[in-house]
Amino acid sequence: MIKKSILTRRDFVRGTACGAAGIALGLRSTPEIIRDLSTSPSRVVLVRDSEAMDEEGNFNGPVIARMLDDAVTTLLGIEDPAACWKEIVRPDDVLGIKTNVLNYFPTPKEVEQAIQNRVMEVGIAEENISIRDRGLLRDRIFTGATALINARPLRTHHWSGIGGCIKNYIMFHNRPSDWHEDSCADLGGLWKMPVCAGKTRLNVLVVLRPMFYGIGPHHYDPQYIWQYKGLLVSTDPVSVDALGVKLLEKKRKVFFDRPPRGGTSTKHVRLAETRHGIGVADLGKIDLVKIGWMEDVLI
Amino acid sequence: MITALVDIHEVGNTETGQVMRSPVIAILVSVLIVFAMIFVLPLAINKGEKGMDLSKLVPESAGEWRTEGENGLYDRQTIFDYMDGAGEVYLSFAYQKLFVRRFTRPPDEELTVELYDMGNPSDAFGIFTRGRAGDDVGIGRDSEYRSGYLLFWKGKYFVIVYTLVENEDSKKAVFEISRIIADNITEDGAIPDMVSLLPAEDLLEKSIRYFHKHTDLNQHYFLADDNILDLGMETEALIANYQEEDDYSFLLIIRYPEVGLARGAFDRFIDIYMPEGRESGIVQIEDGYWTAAASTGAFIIAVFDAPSARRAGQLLAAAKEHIEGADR
Repeated sequence: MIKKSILTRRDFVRGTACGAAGIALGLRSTPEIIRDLSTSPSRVVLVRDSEAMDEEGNFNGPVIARMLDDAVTTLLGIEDPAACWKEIVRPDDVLGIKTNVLNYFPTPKEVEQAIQNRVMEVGIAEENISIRDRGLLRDRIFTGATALINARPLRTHHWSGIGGCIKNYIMFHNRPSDWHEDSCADLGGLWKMPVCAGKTRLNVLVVLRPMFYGIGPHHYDPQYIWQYKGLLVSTDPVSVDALGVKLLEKKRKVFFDRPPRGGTSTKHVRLAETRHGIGVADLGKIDLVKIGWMEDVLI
Repeated sequence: MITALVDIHEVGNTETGQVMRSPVIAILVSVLIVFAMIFVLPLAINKGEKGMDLSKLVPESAGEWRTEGENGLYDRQTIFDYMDGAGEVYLSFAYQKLFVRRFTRPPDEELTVELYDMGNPSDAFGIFTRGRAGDDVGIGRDSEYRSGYLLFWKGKYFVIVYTLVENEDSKKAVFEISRIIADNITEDGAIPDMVSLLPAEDLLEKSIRYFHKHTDLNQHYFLADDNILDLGMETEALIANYQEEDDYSFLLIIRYPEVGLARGAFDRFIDIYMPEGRESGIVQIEDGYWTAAASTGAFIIAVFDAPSARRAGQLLAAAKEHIEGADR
C-alpha cells in the first residue's frame, strides 16, 4: 500500500515513474487571459538566438526584445507583435511584472525592459506597472493587480529541485517558508491564492544562461552555467517548468561522463498538475514549438 | 555557588509558607544573594553574550574593505528572511544562528561574510561536506575556494566569505578575512566519530557527506521521494564513494538512536526498495548496478551502484566488520 505511493530510484530507472507522474486528474484550470487560448493550452514556445549574448555573457537587448516578440507571436498565432501584446494585456490593466533578484541570477534587465516597452505601447500607464521580486505584498500595484507577467531565469535549486516560474510566486505569500515542506511539493498551491489566482497572462522562463547543476545551499559555479540563449514562453507556468526540468536533465547528461546520482526532487512541478491543477507537467501533452537557433537545442 | 543556591532555596521556601530557621541564616543568605547579583550573575551574562556575539569573530575591516550597512543576525525562525528556501538546508542540521556582515571597497566592489553557528562541530562538518567539491585551501578544519566563494568550518561554525566579482584583490580579501575569522574561532571541533566507521580502502575522502535527513540523502544519492529509511534529526548518516578502477560505489551508514528503530527502518527499506533481496540482502537493480543492505545493532549499512555482486558484498562486509569491531 505504502509502496504504491512512493517513487524510488528503481521506478525512475524502470521508467514507471513517468507514468505515475503523468496522471491527470482533470483539475486543470487555464489561467484567465483575454484571448481564449484553451485550444492549445499547453503550448510553449522556445525561442533561441545565437546573438542574444556575447562571449563575455553580456545580454543583447534588441535581440532579446525581438526574441520575446517572436515567442508571443508564435504563441498566439498573430503576426504583428503590437497586436499580439494587445491580446495579452489591456490599457487599463494594473500590471505586476514578477521578476527574480537572486544576486548572481537576476531576471535580466533586458527582459524586463522588453516586456515593459511592449505593455506600455499597449497603453498601460507607467504608474500602473511595477517590476519587482521582493515586497510584493507591500506594493499597491501587485496587491491590486489585474494582470501579472512572470519572468525569471531557470536554475537548479537545492530544495525545490529547480527555480522556475511556479516557484517564483512564493513571494506572494507572507511566510514563504510555509511552502518548503517536502521539497516544496505544494508550490502549485501558491497560484490559487486570491492575490494572484487567474491573473497571470504570460510566463517567461529565461533560459539565456541556465544553471544545470550545483551542490550545497548556495551553489553557484560558472562551470555549471551555459549560454543556451533562449526563452521558454507560455501561458502555462507548469509546462515551461516541466520543459525546464527536462532541459537541465539533458544538459547534465551531456556534460557529465557519469551523471550525478543525487539531486533534489522536482516533484513540485509534477504536483502542480496532478494535485493543484494549475497547468500541464506531462511532456506528452505539451505542444512545444521551437523557433530560431537550433544548435544543441537538447529538447 | 551550589551552596549558595541551596541556601537561597531554603530561604525561598518562605514564599510557600515555611519559616526561616534563624535571622543569622537569613542575613547570610541575603549577603550571598547580593554577592551573586553583583559578581556572579554579570559574569554569567557576559559569558553568555560572549558565546552568542558572533560579530566579535568577524573583523570590521580588512585593508581597503570597510563594513557597509547593518549586520544581519538570523535564528532558526528568521533565517528565511535572509535566504528563503536555502534556509531549509541549515534547519536540517542543528543550526542556531547566522551572522552576516557586508564589506565594500571603492568604487563599488562588495564582499559578504556569512558565519553560521551550527550548534555543534559535527553539524558544522556536515553542512560543509554537503557541498564540498574542491581541495582544502588551508583555512579552519577544512576549506575550499571556488569562483569567489571561500567556505570553511571550524569548531561549531561554518563560514562562507564571498565576492560576486572575483579579481585578484577581492580574492585576496576573501582569503584574508577568512583567515582572521578562523583565527578568532578558538575551538577546532572534532569530526563526527562515525567517520571512523568508514572502511579506509578505496575511500574517496572528499566524497564523505554527513547528514541527518532523507532530503540530504537524496541530494547525494536519490533513493526515493519519501523517507523510506526513517531518517530524521535523531539519526546520523554518512555516505561516501569508494572507487575501484573506473567504478564508484556508494556506501551509506546510518546510526539510529535505538536498535529497534534501526530494525524497523531496515524492514521498511527492504519492503519498499529491494523486496526480492530480503533473504540474500543483495539485488541487481534495473540499471545493472548492485545494491546490498544489512542491519547490525543500531546501524543500517547499504551499498549502492556497485558494479558487481562481489563488490557490493565486499563493501558491505567491510563496513559491517568496522562497525561491529567498534562496538566491541
